[in-house]
Amino acid sequence: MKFKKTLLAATAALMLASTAAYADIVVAVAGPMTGQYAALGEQMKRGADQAVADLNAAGGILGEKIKLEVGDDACDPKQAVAVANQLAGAGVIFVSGHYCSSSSIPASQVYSEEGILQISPASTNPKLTDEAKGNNVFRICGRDDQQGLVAGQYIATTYKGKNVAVIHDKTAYGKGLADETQKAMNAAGLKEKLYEAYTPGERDYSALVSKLKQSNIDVLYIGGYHTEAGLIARQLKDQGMNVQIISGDALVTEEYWTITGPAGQGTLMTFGPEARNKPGAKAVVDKFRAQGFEPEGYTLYTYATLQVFKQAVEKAGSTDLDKVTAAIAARNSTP
Amino acid sequence: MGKIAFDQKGDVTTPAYVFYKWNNGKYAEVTTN
Repeated sequence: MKFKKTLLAATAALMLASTAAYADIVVAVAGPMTGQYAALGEQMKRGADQAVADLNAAGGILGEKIKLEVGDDACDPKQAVAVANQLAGAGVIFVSGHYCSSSSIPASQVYSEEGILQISPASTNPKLTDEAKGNNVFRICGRDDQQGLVAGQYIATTYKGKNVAVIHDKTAYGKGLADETQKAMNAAGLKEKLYEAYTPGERDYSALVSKLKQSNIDVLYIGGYHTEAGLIARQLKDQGMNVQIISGDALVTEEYWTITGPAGQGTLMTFGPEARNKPGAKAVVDKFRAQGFEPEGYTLYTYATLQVFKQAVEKAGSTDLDKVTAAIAARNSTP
Repeated sequence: MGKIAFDQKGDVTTPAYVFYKWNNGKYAEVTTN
């Protein structure tokens, strides 16, 4: 009998706990929190932490407190799917994520099936939205068919007659961006001398660098992340090469320079216009800096995904996915 | 971030890309035109 009472009490406590948990609006940030791209995951986590703190300080959303879960996919597609399922199991209704397109795309299928809103701050592969299984997938960054167009046309115009190589890391992001850049460059009249793939996560790219040297490459376009791009930049310099390196938005972290040192001097990269300079961002930027964190790259983009979510839920007056996505789509009518 | 609006696919309606250049450990927007 005593056991039964204890059990009942325990059940009641559990029910109370779960009632309390479900009274909160549970959201998540998901990206590479560990592994070689952890600096990129940190941008997202910092952005989400600050956004949730600010939202809760201002009374939450519809009077509910926001609870933030953190998903670590390490930019691995399989881990991303596992994380997506875990977040669904934790009652998450909105995911700010992921970072890598190779994570965002497979995870989006889980979110579509589970009725979870996904807004990626950083995934630029067109397939994320082009091939979305539901109406629940958004991104607040640009796409690689836009980014690659800017890079490809610039290279064709600026480096006419030069030896250009296009390389990529075989990922959805890296290959996708390299191919879009190559396409735009070719359409603008410049053909690359070399097109190569490399394996991410290695330390020694000297075989690739030797190949670039043999082809007398003047300009190197890299579709990939900052860690490998940084190593390639350094190893090019080690072999005495002076190459103009051009890459994309995955280099937007000061960690790039910690890898390259002076070999990173002059590297060009494409990204959205500096969000830290927008007048409306100043108060938030100051908060990050007061904590000793520079909100570079996708930090403010992640912060903004939570603002979009908050505004949509408040406009919908509900956390119902269809109503929230309709509210997000209706932002179009706002001047 | 300023105003953000989405098209029917879920992409932003005002995407923009600019170039940044690395110089002594920092990067800044550059004019390429």
